[in-house]
Amino acid sequence: MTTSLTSTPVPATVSRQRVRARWVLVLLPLVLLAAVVFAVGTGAVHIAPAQVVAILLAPLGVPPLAAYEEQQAAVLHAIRLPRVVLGLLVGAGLAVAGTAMQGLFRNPLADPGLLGISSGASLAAAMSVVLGIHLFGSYTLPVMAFLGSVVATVIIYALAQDRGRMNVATMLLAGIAVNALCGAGTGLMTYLATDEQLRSITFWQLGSLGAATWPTVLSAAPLLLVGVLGLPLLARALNALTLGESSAAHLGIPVTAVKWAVVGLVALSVGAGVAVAGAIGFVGLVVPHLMRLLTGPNHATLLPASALAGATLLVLADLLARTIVMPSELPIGIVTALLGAPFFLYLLRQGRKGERL
Amino acid sequence: MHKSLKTTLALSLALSLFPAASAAQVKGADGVSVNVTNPKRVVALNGTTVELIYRLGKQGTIVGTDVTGTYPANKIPSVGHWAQLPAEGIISLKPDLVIGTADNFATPKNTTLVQQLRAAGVKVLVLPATDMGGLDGVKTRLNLLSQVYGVPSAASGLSKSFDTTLAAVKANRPKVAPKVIFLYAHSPSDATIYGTEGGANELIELAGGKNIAPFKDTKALTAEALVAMNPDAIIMLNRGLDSVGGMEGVLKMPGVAQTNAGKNKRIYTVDNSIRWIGPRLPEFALQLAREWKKDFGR
Repeated sequence: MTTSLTSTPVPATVSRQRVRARWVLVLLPLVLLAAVVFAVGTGAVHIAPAQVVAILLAPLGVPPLAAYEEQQAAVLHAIRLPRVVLGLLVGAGLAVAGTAMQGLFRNPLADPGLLGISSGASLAAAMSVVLGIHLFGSYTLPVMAFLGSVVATVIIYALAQDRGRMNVATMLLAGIAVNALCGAGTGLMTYLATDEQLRSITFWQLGSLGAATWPTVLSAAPLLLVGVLGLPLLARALNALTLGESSAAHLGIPVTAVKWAVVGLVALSVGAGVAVAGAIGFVGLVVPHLMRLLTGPNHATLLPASALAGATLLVLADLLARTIVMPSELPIGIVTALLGAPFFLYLLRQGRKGERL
Repeated sequence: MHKSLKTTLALSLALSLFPAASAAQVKGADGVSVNVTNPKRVVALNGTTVELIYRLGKQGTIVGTDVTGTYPANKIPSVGHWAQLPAEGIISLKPDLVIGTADNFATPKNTTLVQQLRAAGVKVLVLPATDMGGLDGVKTRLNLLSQVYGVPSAASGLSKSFDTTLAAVKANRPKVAPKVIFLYAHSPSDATIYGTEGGANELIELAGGKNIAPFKDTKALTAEALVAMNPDAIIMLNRGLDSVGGMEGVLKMPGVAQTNAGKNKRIYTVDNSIRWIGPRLPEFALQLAREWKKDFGR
C-alpha cells in the first residue's frame, strides 16, 4: 500500500496506470448511477422499476408508464430518495476526506477519525442525549454532533501549532490524545445515561441513514459538497506534499495554507456526515486504498475516484442494511465494518506479500 | 404531566360514553388527531400496546410490533428495536394505523420516524408514555384504544377489573412498608438500580413497599451503596435473576449478602416487561403484596 505512494514507477507503468485511471473515472459514475437506480428501486415497500420511473417523471407532467399507488409515490419521495441521496453525499464526503487525510499525513492508516472528528462528535452527541440538551429542537443531536467535531478539530489544530506552523506529526499525537479524552467523556456519559439514553447513544454510534428527510439532507448537503468538490482542487498540492514538505515548498506550494485547507475541509464534510448519519466507520479508510490500487497515487484522479466509490459503497451498504432483515433494519455502521474490515485485512495481506517479493 | 394525563383520561372517559360510530377521531398524546374506521392492519409499537389490544380482543388486527411486543404471544413480526425503528419497514406491513407510545417516539431517531410515516400517508396514533402515570396511565391508553376500535364497553369492563384487583392489593399490603430496591441485572458484574420513576417504582409503591433508591433514573449498582441502603427486599426481573445465576448467584453479588434482603433471602422476581406499565400491573402488585405480607408479617 505504502509502496505505491512513495516509489517512483517506471514510465511504462505510469502510462498504463493513466489509461486505467481514465477508465476508472469513466466507469465509476456509471457504477454509481446503477447503484442509485438499484437502491431507489429496492426496499421494504415494493415499487417496480417502471413504477419508480413513472413516479419520478410525474412532476414533469409525463403521463405515467405504469400505474402506482399514492403511498408508493410518498414512500419514494419522502423516505427512500432522501435516504439514497444522503447516503451518496455522506459516502462521498467520508471517502474523499479519508483520501485527503492519507495524502496529507503521507500515511495509509490516516483517516478522519484521527483528527478527533468522530470522537468529538460522539462526545457531543452523547452529552446532548444524556444531559437533555434541546437547544435546536429536533435538530439538537445533529447540530451538537457537528459542533463537537469542529471543536475537537480546532483543539487538535491549536495543539499542533509549532511557532506559527502546523506540525503534522504533533497533530497525529494530539489527535490520539484528544480521541482518548473524548472517549473517556463519552464513557462517562454512557455511565450516567439511563437505559433508554444508552440505547440512543449506542444506535447513534453504529450509524444509520434511517432518519433521512429532505430537511436533513439539505442541512448537510452544502457542507458535504464543499468537501467533496473542494478537496479535489488541492490534488496538485497533495501530490507535491508526497515528496515531503520542504520539496513541496520548493515547488511553490503554500504548504501551511494547504494543510489548513485540507484539515478544514475534512472537518466540515466529515463533521456534517457524522452529524446526520452517526459514526460510520471504515469508508474513509478502505475506499482510498481500493482506489489507489486501481488508479495509482495521483490525487487528481484519486480524489474524485474515491468520492464516486465512497458514494457507491455507502448507497449499497445502506441498501443491504435496510433489506437484509426486513421489515426491521441493521445499523449501517455494522454493514460497513462487516464489509470493510475483512477487505482491509485482505489488502493488508496482499500488501505484505508485495513487500516480500 | 400528571394533570394533562388526568384531563386526557377525563376526556377519553367522556368520549367513550358515546356509542362508537364507525369512524372515530382520536386525539393522540402529541396533540395530533387520527381518524380511524375500524382498523384492520395495525402496527402496535411497545409491548403494553400489544397487550392492551389483546385485552380488547382485537389481537387479530396486529400485523407488526417491535422487540418488546412478545406477550402474550410472541409470533407477531417485529420491525426491530424500539429505539431505532425503520419507517419503510413499518410501511411495508401496509398498516392502516401505527400505534406507538410517547416514550417509544422520544429517542432522536424516532422523532423523525413519526414525520416520515405521516409524510407517507400512514396514520400514527401517539399514546401517552408507558413509564409514567401508573394505572391511570394504563386506563387512559386503554380508553384511547377502545375509541380506535369502537369497543368502549370492553375498556370500561377492564378498567373495573383493574380497580377490583387494586382493592385486593390494598387489602393485602404489609402493614409496615419494607425498604425495597429494584435491581436490574444483565450479569453478575453488570447491574443497575431502577430509581423512583417508571414501572418498577409504580410496582413497589402499589404493593406496599418503599423504594429507597435515592435518585430518579437508573444508576449502576455499587456494593457499598447497596450495603449502606440496606434494603429489606430486592426485586429483580425474571431474566435478570437468570443472568446472575439464580438465587445463589444473587447472594454472591458484591454487597447483597450484607443487606437484610440478602441475609433473609428476600429476593423477588417479576415479569420482564415491568418497566413499561401495562395491564398486568395490578396482578403483579397483588402477587408481590401477598408475598411481602407473608414475609414481613404484621
